[in-house]
Amino acid sequence: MSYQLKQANISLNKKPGFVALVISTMGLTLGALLCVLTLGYVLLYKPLPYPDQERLMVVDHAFIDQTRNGQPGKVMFKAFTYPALMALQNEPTAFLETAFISRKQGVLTNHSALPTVEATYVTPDWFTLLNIPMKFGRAFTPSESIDSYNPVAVISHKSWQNEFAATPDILEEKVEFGGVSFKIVGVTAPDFVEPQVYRVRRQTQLWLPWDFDPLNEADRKNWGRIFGARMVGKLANGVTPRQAEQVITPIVNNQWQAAMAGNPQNAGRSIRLELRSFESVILGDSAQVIYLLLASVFGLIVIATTNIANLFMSRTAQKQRALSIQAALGAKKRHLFQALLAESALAMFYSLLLALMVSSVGFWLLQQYLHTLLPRIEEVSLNAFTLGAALVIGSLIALLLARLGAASINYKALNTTLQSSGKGTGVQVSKRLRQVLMVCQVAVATVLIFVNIGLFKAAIQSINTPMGFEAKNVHSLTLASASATLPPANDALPVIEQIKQTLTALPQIASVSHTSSPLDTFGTWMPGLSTVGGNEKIRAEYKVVDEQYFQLIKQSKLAGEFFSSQEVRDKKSVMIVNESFAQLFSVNPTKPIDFLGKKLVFRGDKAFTVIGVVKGIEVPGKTKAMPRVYVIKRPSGPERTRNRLAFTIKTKDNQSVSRQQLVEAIKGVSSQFTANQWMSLVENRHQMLFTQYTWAITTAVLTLLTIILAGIGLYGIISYAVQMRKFELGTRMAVGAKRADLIRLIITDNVGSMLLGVLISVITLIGLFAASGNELQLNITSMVMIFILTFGVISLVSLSACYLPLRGFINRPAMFSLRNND
Amino acid sequence: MSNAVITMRNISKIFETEALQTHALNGVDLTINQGDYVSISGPSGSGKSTLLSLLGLLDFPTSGDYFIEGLDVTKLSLDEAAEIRNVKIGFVFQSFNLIDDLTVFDNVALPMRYYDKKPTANQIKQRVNECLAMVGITPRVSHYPNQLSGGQQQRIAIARALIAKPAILLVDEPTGNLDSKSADQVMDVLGELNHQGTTICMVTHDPRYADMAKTKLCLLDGTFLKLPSNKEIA
Repeated sequence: MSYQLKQANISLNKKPGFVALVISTMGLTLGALLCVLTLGYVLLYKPLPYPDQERLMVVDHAFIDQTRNGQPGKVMFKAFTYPALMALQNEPTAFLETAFISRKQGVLTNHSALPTVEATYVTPDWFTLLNIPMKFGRAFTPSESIDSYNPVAVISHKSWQNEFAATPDILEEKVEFGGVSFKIVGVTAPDFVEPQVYRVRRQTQLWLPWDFDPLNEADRKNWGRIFGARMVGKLANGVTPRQAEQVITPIVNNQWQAAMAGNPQNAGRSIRLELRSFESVILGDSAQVIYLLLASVFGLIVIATTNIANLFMSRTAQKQRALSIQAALGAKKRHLFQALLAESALAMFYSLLLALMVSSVGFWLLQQYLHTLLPRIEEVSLNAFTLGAALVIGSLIALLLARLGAASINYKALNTTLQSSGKGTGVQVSKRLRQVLMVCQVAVATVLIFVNIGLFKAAIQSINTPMGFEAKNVHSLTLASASATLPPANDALPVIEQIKQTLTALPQIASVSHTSSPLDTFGTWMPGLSTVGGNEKIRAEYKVVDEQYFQLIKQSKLAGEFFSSQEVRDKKSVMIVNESFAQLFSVNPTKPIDFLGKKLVFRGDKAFTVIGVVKGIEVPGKTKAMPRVYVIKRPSGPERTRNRLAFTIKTKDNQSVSRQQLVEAIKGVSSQFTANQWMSLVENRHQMLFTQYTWAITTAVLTLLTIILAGIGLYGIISYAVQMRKFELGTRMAVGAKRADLIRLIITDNVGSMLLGVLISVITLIGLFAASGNELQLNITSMVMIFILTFGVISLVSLSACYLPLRGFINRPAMFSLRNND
Repeated sequence: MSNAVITMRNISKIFETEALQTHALNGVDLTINQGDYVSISGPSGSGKSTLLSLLGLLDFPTSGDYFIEGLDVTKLSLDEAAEIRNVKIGFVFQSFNLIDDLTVFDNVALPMRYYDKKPTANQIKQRVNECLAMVGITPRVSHYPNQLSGGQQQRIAIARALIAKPAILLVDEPTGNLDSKSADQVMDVLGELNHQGTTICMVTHDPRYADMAKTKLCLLDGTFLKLPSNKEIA
């Protein structure tokens, strides 16, 4: 074989163009495949880097309404209550270990730069469950267990480097967060990979003991929902997740039922605890992304391999004289196959070297640009799996290429080749094989182009959807408390109002609204709003706004009025609704004025009077405008300071304000609060549309690659066929065929294969849509339009592939085609 | 009024590569009249095939003037040349140039498929049968070329060349790939066609068959040598 490899190397060196085409085509596509395969391996199969990771579970606390909408057992929402967490503490049957976690974003108030950090409150078991390695100091120990109130902190390695300049004396430092000073007792090791149980790429910078979670005493005692708190645990030996659910659900549900006894609102409701594996929580819906990417790159590989197979077979045909001489000298079929295999193996080896480089670049790009979209990206790198996959795929393709090349050799006919001056038919790619290659190319390319255009269209549609308000110069600001617990609303709101006045007075600022950003999450009223005396409950999102809000963001008014300063001061029970909400009450969309004056109630409390109807806003990435209402005050319950810490601020044209300037301005009013997060809505919108941008770019690149590869492939196949028919074409020209006649001839000969390819793709697409339930959310018109576009692209590519190889013959005198043949 | 089918004046053809210029034809003058039977012979590389390809508008001269039935065909576009080939010129090649995937019938009918005014199926059938009858191949219309002998294939090629009732039949080494019996049969067919009025210009190496022509021309290094005509010899 070494002789064959040496000869193959010499032979390939003589064809640098052929080698470059093979290596670039296969290197790029295999590189993409290895990159996505490795990503898929890490996300779907590679065990999490924690001990007994398969037994690590996240517990969901679901409120069940047994009777809701006639659907027994429907989950109303999922959120823990504090008493439920405490009831499960040290549960001995289902779990070996449990830990509680909750999160908070805030400011390190003793740090000169006042950085905003992500903090996670944890019980000590969090460190042992994950076996978190430490660079310095220690993790939390039983000295930080619940109710110990020991103010210590562990910081991440990255935070140590960024916020503390990697000082070696870090264990001498303290951090002040949420009004409490914590002594740093440890720094996590740089190789610790944090499980992203909240959202992709949320990286904790500061771990604090669970006791310091800013829940006040009342919150800790009542059964109210505490969003953001999680329970995680390691299942006891031999216990399945379902068995664990059956053990822990009654513990919580019985206590909750007892506590809620006599409360008619909770009749028919219950608590159910549900376990999800760490893996599935961290993976989220990323599997769909992976499968889609895998399908796309596999499609590209099929097209690329078809192209290269055709190239190899054409090359084998070109080498028939050399093969004939070898056969004449005693080479058996096996020897010829070995020669072909050596050549294809060598070409694939070089391609794989390029592929590994391409995949490395791909890993870097993934880590740079997709880290907010996909979990565990930092674990994606060249590894044994990548190398193994490269070896297997490369070997299979090399074998396939050699096999196809060998199949095109007519060993018996080779001997006559020498007698006919090398013009024999010892090596020919059969017409049938060429047709199969063409059908394959067209079918795969059509499917890929259709799906990618569909995804591209959906992404572009989301990106281009107007938000329904003006984001230019508009920013969101959230305040952080400098104390451990937030002051009560009665004390805090006057201070916050002063802060608003101070910010308004800044020369760069045009307007301030004491309202959270329109891109922030809206609240939800449950069970919903109804007309006075009506039974039907309409669920709607709500936002508490002030008189500046609508004018500041320039949200369009369809009817009525915005809130006046007087109404805000008097906290009037008035309401502004968006058109989606009005339409739920059967209001004529062209006459929203009909909805004015309508009175709506929530849980029988005092009615809100609708005084205005506004056009809906579209939150980027959401599919439709939600029914929403805007009020001056919450419909029930006491005002809470934590709900009033956000501002929407508009700066003057060509003016900017830094977070540091805001910090200074707020410091002049009160030391109770500081600026937490300051972000422009334009930037916020871009962040929210990150997934759509990513998909738009990815699908555009995949579509282009598919078109280019399919174009090259079809050109290669038809070019070979035209080359084989050069003599026939010359003869036809000799008897009077014009250029148009010959173009028509080649198109007619290939149109059947192309249409068959398209037909197969249509069947495949129908199958895919049936199986996936129209994940692309395309209506029939869009599907037809996209299909017409796809068909147009494929037709254009195919027709070009028919015409281009012909140019060399039909644009020259007929003698050119006949020369050397007669 | 002249009855010249072919008139060439001072025709030259130069093939150029980066390193080399080859003068294939040097100032050739040639006139072929209606009903002529001209043979062109000469050693390899003398320019016979080049001349035939220019005569058949398969290639274009580097310089000179060329007329077919008085029409200047020196500077035609590719498609215009194709149309002239289609209706005024019939080709017979040494290696037959039949298309393997087409039946005998379809091979013969091929030029009619390229007429500007498409003939009906009946017209095609009638004309194909006439031409096949002229070369004696009628019963084998549904066969494919590779099912026939070399002589039969060449006679089909002649039938195809006759299909458009061309002004001239250009024949390139018609017996080069045939055994002597088949070659004689083919030459008999050509003789008979000329006898019926078909103008023929034939390139051949074989002096026996060259002698069958009324006018014998010999090319050497791209120019004609003057030879006595059969009439003059007689």
